[in-house]
Amino acid sequence: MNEFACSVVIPSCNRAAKLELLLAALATQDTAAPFEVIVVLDGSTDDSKAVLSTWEQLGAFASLRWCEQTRQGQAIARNTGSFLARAPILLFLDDDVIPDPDLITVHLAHHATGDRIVVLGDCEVVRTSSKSLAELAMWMWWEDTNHRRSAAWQPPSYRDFCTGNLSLRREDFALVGGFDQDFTGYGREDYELGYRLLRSGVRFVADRGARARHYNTATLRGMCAAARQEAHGDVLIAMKHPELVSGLRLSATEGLRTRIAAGLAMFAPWLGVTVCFFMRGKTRIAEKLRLRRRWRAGVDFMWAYSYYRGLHDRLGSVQSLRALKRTGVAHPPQRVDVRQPLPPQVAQLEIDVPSSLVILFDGRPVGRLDLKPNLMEPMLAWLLREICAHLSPEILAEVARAALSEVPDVLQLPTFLDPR
Amino acid sequence: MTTRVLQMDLALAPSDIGGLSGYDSARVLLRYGRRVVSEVSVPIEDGVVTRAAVTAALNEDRAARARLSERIVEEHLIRPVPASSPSWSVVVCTRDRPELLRRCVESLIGENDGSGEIIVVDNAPTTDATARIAERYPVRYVREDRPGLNRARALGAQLALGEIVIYTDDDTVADPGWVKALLSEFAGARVGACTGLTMPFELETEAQELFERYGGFAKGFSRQVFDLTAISPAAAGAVGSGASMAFRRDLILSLGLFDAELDLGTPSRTGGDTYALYRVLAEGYRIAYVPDALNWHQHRREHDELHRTMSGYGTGLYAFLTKALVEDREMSALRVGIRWFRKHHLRQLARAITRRPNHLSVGMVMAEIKGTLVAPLAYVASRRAERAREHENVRGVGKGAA
Repeated sequence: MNEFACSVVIPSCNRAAKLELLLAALATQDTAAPFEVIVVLDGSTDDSKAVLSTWEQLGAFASLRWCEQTRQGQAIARNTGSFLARAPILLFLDDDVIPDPDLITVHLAHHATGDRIVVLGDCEVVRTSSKSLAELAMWMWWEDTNHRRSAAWQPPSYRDFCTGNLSLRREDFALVGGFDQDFTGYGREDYELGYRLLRSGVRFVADRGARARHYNTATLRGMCAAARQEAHGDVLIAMKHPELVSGLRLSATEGLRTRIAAGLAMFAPWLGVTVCFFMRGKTRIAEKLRLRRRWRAGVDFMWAYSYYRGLHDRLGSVQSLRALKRTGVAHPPQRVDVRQPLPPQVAQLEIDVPSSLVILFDGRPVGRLDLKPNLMEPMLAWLLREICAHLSPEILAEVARAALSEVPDVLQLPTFLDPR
Repeated sequence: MTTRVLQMDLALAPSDIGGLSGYDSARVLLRYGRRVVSEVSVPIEDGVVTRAAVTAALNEDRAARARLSERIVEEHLIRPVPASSPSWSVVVCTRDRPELLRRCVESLIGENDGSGEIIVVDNAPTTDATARIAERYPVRYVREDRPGLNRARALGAQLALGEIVIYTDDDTVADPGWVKALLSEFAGARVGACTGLTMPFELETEAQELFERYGGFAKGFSRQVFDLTAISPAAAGAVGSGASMAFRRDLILSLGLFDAELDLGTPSRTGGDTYALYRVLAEGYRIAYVPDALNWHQHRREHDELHRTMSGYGTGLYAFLTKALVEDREMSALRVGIRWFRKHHLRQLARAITRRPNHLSVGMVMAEIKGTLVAPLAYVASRRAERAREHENVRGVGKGAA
């Protein structure tokens, strides 16, 4: 009944030129599997339609369909696209990516077993200017994210679910009800869906081989606008999933600068706008002089200000923000035992909300670490480093000696480990 | 007073090391299998380094004991996930030092399990001695007739077939596993380059001792990952050196890491390696420092050679900083330069004048300071010479076409 193996769903808004590049890359996909392309124009007013009809006339695709809607956001656009989809596998792409020729092949190969999985593809940010620190920061974030998601034994996180390049079974998508249509702005609708998918028992598989290049010029203004929208999204997530509240950015109590930015956003936005105006000038100069830390500090301030403005938009007051934070529940402490092999224990950890991690040695607690969400490095590498850094040398020696007792080919090393 | 360089593997239930008469003390590199743990200085009595003396020295050093435990924990408790190993090319740049090169190449041959290649770049040779050595070993030999270490490095990268290009100098000897340890880090996120631990091959003369006292090449026994969010890229001198460094080949080519304006063969004398590491950091890539990637460096034996080397380092470092400031608009180069001058040069000078223990001679410190002072001019001269050469090349091509 399915003539297509895969439905590529692309929401697009006023990016005719980029859309054309994406269609060209899709038309030259190196795959034997038949696939269809569905474009949802989310309030586009440029000549996207002309581009689409040109491509339709070219007949480059087995099926190319598109529909239009008034501007309602990516969540609704993607849902619309998936309603039109006929294939068992949905591949979501952003309209500003250019997929590698084997993208569809690699995605479909993972789905061959029919397991309930989401395949997270790799987004490689293409930098257009070596001078722009904003682009550099964006590239670094994506590189780290791509790497972390695909690390061995990495516990899954709903934050891994980024819709720029991912595929999943249409059945799983439908089972959880698709994207939540309350998300009408930019951002966080993907995280929210990712959370429901994870909870429904779907597994995340990240493959850096399924690669798409991301052409998005990051600017400071854009980053700040996005921060405000993301705050809206975080409030929605907090209201829908109270168990996630303590892991959201809005619950984080950070340094003095962030508090000042938050205070300005909540109580004196007129002053905040003025401060941000000067801050923007300062970051420009810092960027010119390659003073990266100064630049970062300025950007962090403006980012925090915009984020808290976004919270203010949605919540209206500090009191309601506090009330929202209070709905959060602390996660119980988790445990790892260093006498047992670590990797399988790490894969079981819950990392979306902060908690404390008790380190056991044969059931005896020997240390405690803070597990923070938003960790950008692979969990296993982080934990190994932290264990070595936090346990006292005596405990470490004990762990080492215990480890050696199970290794037959090392003879009498332990004498070296004795403190005296 | 001479010091013997030794190593001891703690995983093999080590015994006393004898046959060392004629030496006063030993610097013992401690390792656990292939992992480097630490280094201890022990006296040599009756030509023997005893296991007890090493144990005592290790027990004095709390940090070293902790590192030993860490290595064991990492090795046995949490078995590292084997990463796919990329293809590699070792590039050895050399100039008229056939005997040193032979020793270096011999140590590298053992590193090649078929996944890589060794390239000898002969830089503006005056004899064919290097070529004759090279043809006796399974290495690729190429000649770069225009003088300049950075030219040779760039040519090596262009011809390399491996994804990772590993550089070393002809006066080093690779420890078994050097290549593998350097490669292991490239599986990490954003890792663009990797540097290793370089220890003295011998400490037979006073000049060699002095070089070590001056800092040597070693950057500690703990693995570190450098990132522009943590350090200023202009401080790349602390990350590693050309004696043991590896880069992703695509970065060398796309960023043009080895600029002919710097390093041996130009008035700037050194600094090409530091500039390359700087660029990698500045572009947002990480550089991993792995002490397990170990090689040994033959320090200069004579005082006057040492003088030249030190003044060359002074010039090269500040030529690099000048270039970063002028061409890359890297303001922090200014800060790094001033801080290094204050913390390193002036301090060494003060120690030399007040004759503190382990001080260096005033002459030697002054040699390096003089080197630093001429650096900006040296950089300008290098740049001029390079521009003039380019200009000539263009004209030459034009004439050829006519």
